[in-house]
Amino acid sequence: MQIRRLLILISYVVILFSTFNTVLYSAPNIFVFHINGVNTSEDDARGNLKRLLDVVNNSASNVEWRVLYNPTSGSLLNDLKEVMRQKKLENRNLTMDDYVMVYMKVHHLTYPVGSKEYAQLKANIKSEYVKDLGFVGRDFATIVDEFHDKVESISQGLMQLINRYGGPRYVDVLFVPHSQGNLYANSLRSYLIKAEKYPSSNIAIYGVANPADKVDNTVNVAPSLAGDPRDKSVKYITGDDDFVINALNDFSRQLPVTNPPLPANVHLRRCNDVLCHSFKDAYLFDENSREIIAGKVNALIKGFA
Amino acid sequence: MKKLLSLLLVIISSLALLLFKYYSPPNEEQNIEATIEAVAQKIVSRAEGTGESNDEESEPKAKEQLAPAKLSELEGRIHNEYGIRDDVLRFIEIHIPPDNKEGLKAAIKYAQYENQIHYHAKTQEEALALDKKAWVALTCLGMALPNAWDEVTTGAGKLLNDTPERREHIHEVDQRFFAWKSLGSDLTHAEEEAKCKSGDY
Repeated sequence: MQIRRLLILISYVVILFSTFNTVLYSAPNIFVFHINGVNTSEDDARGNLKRLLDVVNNSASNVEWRVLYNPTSGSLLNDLKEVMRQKKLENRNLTMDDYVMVYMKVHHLTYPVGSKEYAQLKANIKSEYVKDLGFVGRDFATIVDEFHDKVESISQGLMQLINRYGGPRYVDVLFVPHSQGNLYANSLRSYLIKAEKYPSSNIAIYGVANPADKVDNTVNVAPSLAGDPRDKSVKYITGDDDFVINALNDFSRQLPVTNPPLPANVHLRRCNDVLCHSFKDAYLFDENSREIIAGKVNALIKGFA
Repeated sequence: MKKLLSLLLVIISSLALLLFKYYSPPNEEQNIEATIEAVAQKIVSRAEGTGESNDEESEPKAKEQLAPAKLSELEGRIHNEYGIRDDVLRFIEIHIPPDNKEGLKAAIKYAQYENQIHYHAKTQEEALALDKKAWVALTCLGMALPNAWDEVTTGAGKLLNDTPERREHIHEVDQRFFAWKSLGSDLTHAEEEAKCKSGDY
């Protein structure tokens, strides 16, 4: 009789445990976002992510792979000009009013500029205003909204579930941006951490063909460490024969007000595009850089786990 | 003499005014814009391999949605049961061996969703729902053609973008429906694979 009771109890525990596991782990708790660079159609961005998935070869059920689509102007020339204008503003600060406007948009507030409520809000969130937030590109509030639509709801749902069993936890987010996407990824990460108090340990970036002067990450990238992309602290990969990034380096040399991109840290021996800059046809085409990217993305995913 | 001096003074003042009006030292902003233009042109020239860029220089124009007749003209000739362009279907049939039934099905499905997104979706919700299906079709294509899916999608994509008007239209649709959207199938890899195996996509 005692044994029967024990067996029933064990069965209950097993069923409860497996139900908990199913609920907990069927929902993704790691999101990988590819943010495409300039002159990329949505179809191309889809192909980029598919190729990245092939290379990374990680089909864990708790990881969801997505594209955060950076639309282009339809003209390579105009897209490139936009990147350089972003570079020009990269080290400038967001004004307090810009910050208040983004804050209101995210929190669905509509206080008119100059009103008593606006002034009150501005005073209240002054401490949250972060001076080094850096440049946020066009449509930044839209990006934040979109990001919230997907990540925050899932994050909150998961947190409610986990809170029943343990401490609170945010979903982990890894950005794998390409080219101009790096500038947006840096801004997005800064915003989420500094304005939304998203824990920095839950957001990482691994930049590809990086035009930015930094990779915002929990581990700072010192230029002296940039020589070897296999170094754990290096969170980007840029080819020394990437024509676009080299041209941006020239641009920064001509205009000292701009910061040059981080130094190149790999040589792309094989490129399937004339600029040696494409995500899929250069960085995921060259065997060496492909291996580095796969290793780094997998390591960052494992780092979250 | 006094008159002459006055006249000279007037002439000098006029010249100075003219110089002031037509010559001002280029400011920093102009320099930056000129550098931006030069560097961007350099990259575009390299991309086009012509030495001279014929890329669109003006700011992008506000796009208008096309009239149904124009849309139908851009969609192209469709005389097959799948509702995809005849030349795209031919391309798929040439590049995927006929015995690879899963590959053919996935490529045709992918082309169907692309066509529906760009020529038939009326709302963003509709386009996003089709996009989710396209992601699954792409996974299925990758399973059936692990080493050649890219060749098929890139080749079909080139056909779909084969004229400046079509390129412009596809770009406009991408902007209207997908700008800064978080895109994916909303399924785990295992769920996508299950759909591919069951053929339910």
